[in-house]
Amino acid sequence: MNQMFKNPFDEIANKRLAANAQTLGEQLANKGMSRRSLLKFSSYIAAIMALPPTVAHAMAEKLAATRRQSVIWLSFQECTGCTESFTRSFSPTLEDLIFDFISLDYSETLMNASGVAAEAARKQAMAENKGKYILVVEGAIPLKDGGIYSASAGESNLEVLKDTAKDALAIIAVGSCATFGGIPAAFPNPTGAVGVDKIIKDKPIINVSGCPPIPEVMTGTISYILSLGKLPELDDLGRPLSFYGETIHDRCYRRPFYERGLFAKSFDDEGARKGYCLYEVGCKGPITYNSCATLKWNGGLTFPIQSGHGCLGCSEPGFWDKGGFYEPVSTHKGEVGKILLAAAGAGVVAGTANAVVMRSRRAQALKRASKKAQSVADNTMLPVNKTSKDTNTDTKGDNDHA
Amino acid sequence: MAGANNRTPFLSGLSQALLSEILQHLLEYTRTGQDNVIDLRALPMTDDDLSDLDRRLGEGEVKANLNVSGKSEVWETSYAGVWRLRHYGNSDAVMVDEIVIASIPEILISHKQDIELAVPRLEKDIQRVLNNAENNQGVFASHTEQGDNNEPNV
Repeated sequence: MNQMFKNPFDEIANKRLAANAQTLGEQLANKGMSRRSLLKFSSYIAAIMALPPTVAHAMAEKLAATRRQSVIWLSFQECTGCTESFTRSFSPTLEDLIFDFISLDYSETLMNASGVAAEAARKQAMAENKGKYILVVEGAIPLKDGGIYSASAGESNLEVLKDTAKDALAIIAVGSCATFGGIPAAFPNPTGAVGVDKIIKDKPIINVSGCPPIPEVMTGTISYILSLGKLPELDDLGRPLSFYGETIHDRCYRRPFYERGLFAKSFDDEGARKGYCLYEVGCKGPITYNSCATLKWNGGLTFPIQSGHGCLGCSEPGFWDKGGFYEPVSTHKGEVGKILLAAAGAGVVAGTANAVVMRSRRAQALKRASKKAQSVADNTMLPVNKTSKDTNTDTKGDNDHA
Repeated sequence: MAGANNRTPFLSGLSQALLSEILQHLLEYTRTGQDNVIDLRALPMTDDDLSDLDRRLGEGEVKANLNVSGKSEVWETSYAGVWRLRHYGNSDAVMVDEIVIASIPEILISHKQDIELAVPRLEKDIQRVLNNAENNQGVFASHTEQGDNNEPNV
């Protein structure tokens, strides 16, 4: 009788275990795929991460000998746009290979199981891969009032994060919410939302910011850890330098117009039609570190500036509170704005400006954003408290305008 | 294209600059045998820059189409040792676009592990052909039976 009612989840679990026991090279061979697939994938990852050319060969060899990486994907205060970004753009070719390399053991959005079975899958993956799984976090975590404002399965996001982070190899905070608090942390931040690195202090955390991040950045980061067995080099905000090492402006194809002082003054003027620089209509490219200008979106098709709209700066801390998306960067009266304006006027190469931006970025960005939002709130007579302390503000060295 | 479209090409000068870089890599190859790769997608090249570069490099004797997790193209330029490699992903989007300086791009070489896997498979196939030949008193009979006779029906 028992045999007639086999638990279908046991069968799935057994298949998963069998697959996880094989190396990636063996798995591909079973599917009739040659090692060229791994080489192609590796050269793709090496190219997007700007790694030296010899690395592709070594990465492919290492990947072939690796077993599938257990990944637990937690969703907190978010819109699921990051999951969309990660999954939608992948269908059955090169980009799809990443799903052969990881074992996505828990993801509320993507998994079949639900309720108790889903939570059991998370606990099981944690036990089986103790100290070896990668934790991906999507969404901000509310801290106010003991973190009661977001919960699932009877546990607050804060509890789940702490519990799951405990035995993780590394944490990848995906999207601007999980990295810097994002929209949930927007002024006045009613739930006290923060990013992962404000809570977890004893694990390596990689911040993959963006709203959403470019899918290749997520793929690249995971593949890098798998194939090279170490974390990529990070910037001062914990983001992989390969993707966040330069500003959108630095790599923008419209940059030559900026150098010549040719700007679109509105979205339908002569300059806009000629593809001039969008600096004066609010492009945040000069202060935004991301790879949109090179990797682009939708399989390399285009990116906002190429489609005629300025950059919103979505991968920077506090982008949501920085004032209007159509205000030029220079209307921020801080140091950064002044220098950029001077640079634009005099046609100075923006190296100077970048140095300044680099120095004061995170502290000032968040500070300025919350002040800006505060002043807007004051003007509109909203009954809000003094700016929340939860917005990750580091006031050290901040000489911002009042 | 030139006839149908008489707009001025938008050239940044990168295609010319790249020729010198390729030369340096070729010189290094001749001295040390070191392979090199230039990632064209990492450079802010316009479409016109790219086609200008390919026009200057020209096409050599070898051109290969690969079917590896999507399409790939490899061709040797008119300069020996200077290859163009292009990997396509989903919807034929260009995922990797490179100049490879090497005697042959690695992607064209059969991997040792794949060759090792080919051995038992070929052995098995030979065994099957022999078994079928025994059963049917003829190799051709077995081919027809398996439906892999490539001759057109008449």
